Amino acid sequence: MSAAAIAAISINSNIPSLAKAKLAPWVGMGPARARATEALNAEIQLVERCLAGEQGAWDEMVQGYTKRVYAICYRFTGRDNEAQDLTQEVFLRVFRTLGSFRAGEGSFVVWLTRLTRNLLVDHYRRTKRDRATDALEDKLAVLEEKTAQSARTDGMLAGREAGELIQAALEKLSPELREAVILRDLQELEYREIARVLNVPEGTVKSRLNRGRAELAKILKRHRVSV
Amino acid sequence: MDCAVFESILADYLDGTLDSAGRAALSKHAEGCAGCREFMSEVSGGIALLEQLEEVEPPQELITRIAFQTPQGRTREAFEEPPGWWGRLTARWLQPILQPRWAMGMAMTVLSFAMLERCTGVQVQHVPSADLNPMRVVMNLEDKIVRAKDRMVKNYENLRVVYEIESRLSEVQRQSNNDAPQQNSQDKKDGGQKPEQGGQK
Repeated sequence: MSAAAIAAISINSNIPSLAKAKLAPWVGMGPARARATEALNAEIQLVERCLAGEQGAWDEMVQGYTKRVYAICYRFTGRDNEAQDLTQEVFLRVFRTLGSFRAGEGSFVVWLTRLTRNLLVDHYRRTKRDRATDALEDKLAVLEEKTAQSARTDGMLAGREAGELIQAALEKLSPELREAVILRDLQELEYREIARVLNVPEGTVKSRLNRGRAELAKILKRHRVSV
Repeated sequence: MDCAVFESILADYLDGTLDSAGRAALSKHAEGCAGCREFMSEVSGGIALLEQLEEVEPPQELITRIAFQTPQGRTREAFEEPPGWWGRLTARWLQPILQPRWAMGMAMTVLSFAMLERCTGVQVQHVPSADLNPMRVVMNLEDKIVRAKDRMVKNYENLRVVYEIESRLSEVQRQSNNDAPQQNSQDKKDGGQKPEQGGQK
């Protein structure tokens, strides 16, 4: 779609123009910054194409962002079926509210992550009573059996088993610490982006991040598991 | 540097974005403070653990499902959420009603009324408008109730008379039955004596 066509759509509608918010080419910017700007422009264009009803744009969006949304949901809930349901719900919400995305208020990824995070928090509150069992205790029981079978006595675990155990420990963190750790260490968002997603100051993000990481290490140490 | 400052710059230090002066101050504090040293080692341990987590891949069918759950050929209007008052009204109140089960229910109600009309013989088309006057409806209803009650009372009275007559009759019959054997035995007595009388004659 040409810039003129985007401008025409924007002028003919009441939606504030996303095309206008497109970032101007930065003269003399570094390669990393240039790449980030390019990515942001691509995001904005994709949203604009979706809003314009362009054939295939929505599928492109689903293809491009499902992995990110699913990964956040999976790491937060620790269950594949719940993560799949939540991802579906996120995209339904994106479909309904994409018109409310404003390019000037942050990147599309931040907008999408905030939407996902809000849904996860709602889900966490809704299902609080159902989570009576302790995922880590269950996993440890199974893993103890496995290590006994493989005759490993050093408590060292690797690969998939280690991953399962870290995931179980992650689920033991409070939701505030868990979301900070997931967004920074697994989704690799910037501190200011996380601050926007969680709607807290950057200092709070860093503090939660420190506490989350330390807590995670302590949980596994408490269970005398080395990975 | 105090512990609070140490904690606030620790994340930047571990990211490698802290300037040399900051790094030196942090190291100096860590040397003298066992608590902060331990905290830093735990945080680094946490980072090392999280680095071991592999990327999760969503199942392919999930992407297909999401693409299918939202209608194809979207338009700008489809993304613009806020519906008008009519849209909100229909979505909130009429949508639950406009469903096959409700249509079926309504059809069954109409059918029931039609059958009732046929069985009772009341033809709705022939009911004059005057009969629909509430006062008249109430009066008719009252009249019907009074008549029905009278009929019931009359029936009861009739039944009582019939039972009384029946009981009297059965009593008379019983009495006559009791009298008849006595008469017979008397007759028998009389009949036994007669030959003797005759023989005497």
